[in-house]
Amino acid sequence: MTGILSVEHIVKTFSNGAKFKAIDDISFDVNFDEFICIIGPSGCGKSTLLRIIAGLETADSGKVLFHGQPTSGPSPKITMVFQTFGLLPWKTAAENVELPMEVAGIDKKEARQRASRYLRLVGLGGFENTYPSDLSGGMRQRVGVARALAIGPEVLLLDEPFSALDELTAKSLRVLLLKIWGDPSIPTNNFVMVTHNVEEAVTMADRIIVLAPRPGRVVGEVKVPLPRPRFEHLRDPLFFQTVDQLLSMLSSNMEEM
Amino acid sequence: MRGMLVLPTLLLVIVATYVVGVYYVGQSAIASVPLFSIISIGRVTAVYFISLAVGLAFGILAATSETAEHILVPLFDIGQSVPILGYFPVVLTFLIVIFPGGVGNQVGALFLLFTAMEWDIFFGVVGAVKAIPASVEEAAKGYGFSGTNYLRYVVLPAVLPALLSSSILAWNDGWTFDAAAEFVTFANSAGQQIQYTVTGLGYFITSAANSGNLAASWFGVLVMGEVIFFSNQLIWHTLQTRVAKHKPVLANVIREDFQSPLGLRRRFRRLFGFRLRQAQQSVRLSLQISTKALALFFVVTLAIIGVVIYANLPIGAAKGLASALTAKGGQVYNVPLYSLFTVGRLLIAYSTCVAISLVCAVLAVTKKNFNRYFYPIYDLGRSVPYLAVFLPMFVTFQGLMPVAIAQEMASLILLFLAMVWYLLFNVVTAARNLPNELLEVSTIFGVTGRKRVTDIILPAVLPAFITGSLLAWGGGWNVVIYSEYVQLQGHAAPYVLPGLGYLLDNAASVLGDIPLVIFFLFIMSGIVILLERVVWRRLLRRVERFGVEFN
Repeated sequence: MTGILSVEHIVKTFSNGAKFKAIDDISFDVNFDEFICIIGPSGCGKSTLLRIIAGLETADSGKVLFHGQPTSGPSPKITMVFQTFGLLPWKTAAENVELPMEVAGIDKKEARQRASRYLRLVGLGGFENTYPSDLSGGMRQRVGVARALAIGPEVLLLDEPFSALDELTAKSLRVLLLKIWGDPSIPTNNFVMVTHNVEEAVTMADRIIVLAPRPGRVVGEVKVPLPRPRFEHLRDPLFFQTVDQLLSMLSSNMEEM
Repeated sequence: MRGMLVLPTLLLVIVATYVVGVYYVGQSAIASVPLFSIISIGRVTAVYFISLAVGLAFGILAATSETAEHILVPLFDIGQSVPILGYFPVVLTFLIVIFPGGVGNQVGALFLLFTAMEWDIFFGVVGAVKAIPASVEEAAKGYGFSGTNYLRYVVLPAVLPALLSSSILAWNDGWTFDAAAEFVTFANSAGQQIQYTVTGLGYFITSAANSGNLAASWFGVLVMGEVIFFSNQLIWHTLQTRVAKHKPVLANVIREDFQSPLGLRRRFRRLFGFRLRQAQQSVRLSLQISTKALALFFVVTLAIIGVVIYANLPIGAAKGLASALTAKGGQVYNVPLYSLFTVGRLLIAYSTCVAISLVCAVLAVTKKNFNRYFYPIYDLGRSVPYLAVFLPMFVTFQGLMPVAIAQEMASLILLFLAMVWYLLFNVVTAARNLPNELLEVSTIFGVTGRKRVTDIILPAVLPAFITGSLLAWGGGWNVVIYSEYVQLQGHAAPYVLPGLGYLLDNAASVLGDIPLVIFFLFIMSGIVILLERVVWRRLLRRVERFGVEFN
């Protein structure tokens, strides 16, 4: 055990009619203050893996260790940002952010203050009382990020958080996320992000875990050699080399494409 | 597979029903049931096809022409809001004058069924035509579809699924009102009571209960329930599975081949089996013909509906007000209090429906196998012809408890049955379609137990709940008239519950004062429309923005 989070020999089989092995013996560690990306084509079980870490799904065998202790079910120490935001349309931006804190028993006034602090952090100061239907996609995902962070988790899971957004919006959210990750005043410094976008993974991650489908398994791991801040190195030959390396790992494990 | 199972079951049920009938009711008493059933099936089927033709013609017209929409939609909307049973005496009086010798009764029954079935189909068609994706419309226009060809190859296939759902509603509504349509009592202008009847299953049920043969009446209800249940299973369910299979084909063909016009063209040709060039040549002509035919049909039907309902109403109401204020009536002073009674009755039934629906919504989300039990029960429950049930139910209760309580209870059960399915279906379907992501959000942030119900499930079903409530109240108002006034044969005085429905029935059945009937009808429709506009539509608009996006 080297880090904050360890995934050990996870196996998961789904059976709707025919049995289908979604994840076959996946293991990896997340070190302290690390930004991990999990990439792979659709059907490689990357979202399922994330849900097992979050405690939303249970593995058939294997375990997830958090600070060396096996997890059981969801915990406020590990939260998640969802692909299509998962905001409650009948709650304002602030109410959406407050809800997890309310459930965790945090004082209402304190929750309200924290909600508006985190909304300001994600650039939504002044939108506290706006309903999600009046926010753009990018703004909605900012609320999603604020909600996941406000409760003060140690690990933030991100399930393809930018795939429902246009490229320009996604870009600005990537900048924001990296800024938050590197901010020492925010307690959440361990990020695990699932994506199928190779360039995105290389831009964001310290380490990239590559999965292959049918059954979902780890086929490689790449430590991104680029210095940070990454946005100054996106034209660097090293960037493209890393992208190519990942692409060839992905394509050598795709049977029919 | 399902069809193969249904047919033997149907045979078995017919035999079992026959045995039950002979054993409990007696062979001679049920001898007329097969023929009466066939007559009622024929009547409902005929009216269904009339409603279909009218609904399609006007629906397509309203959805494609803005002028027509501005005229037709409010017209049909008002028609929908006027309680059917209320204007039946008015319509019958009118029809009997035009068609003497029993024909008026027949036409009257058809007309009542028509007004029970039409609205669903019309609004279903309007919605479906408007929902045709712009890309499909453009693709079709781009390849030269217009006029009849556009109707035949684009509009009709596109509205088919909606047409089917609304047909199911209409079909069930038709059967619900069958009992009321086949047996009507009201007084002529001299105050003599006259029964207007046409033979059929609804007539059988009502007249049996009327003459005290409870067993026969319940037997009729059983047969009617079976007819409804099996027609739903055999016809509508089968059609629905077929259409569901058919629908994505059109959508896929157009989406997939959009980049290669050649492929699209070939596929279009193969799919529809006709030659494009010929179609293009005949387009202009057929467009003109179909538009003219539609317009003619439109004008004629509009004239009939207008004369029967709309022209009559204001004149009648004005006369009715005069008569209500004077001599026979004096009854106008009862209107506020009696309206409250009726609303109260509806409110009690509605509250029960609300409680049940919300519990079911929570169960639908939290219990995995809830749906397995819910939908069969829904299917069965929807098959209960509640108007037909009312009279035998009342007579049965009457033997068990004081008559006033019996009538009040029967009335509440009738209202409950008329209201509950709309609400249940809407709310449970919304709960079932709650996006998985929202449930995951609530799990991951620890929103469980009561908080999950109040913060996630209930707000998520709120828009469906309000839509369901709007429909439920419409359904309730439609039948409340039936329960507040019961005249049994051999009893001098009718059994009444204080309420607006009683006032209306009294005006029709005792006073025989058609203008007064129209006056009360006017008030009742006013309350219905007011409640819908002021309460439900406003609420719906307010929660619209909170609707979850279902993927």
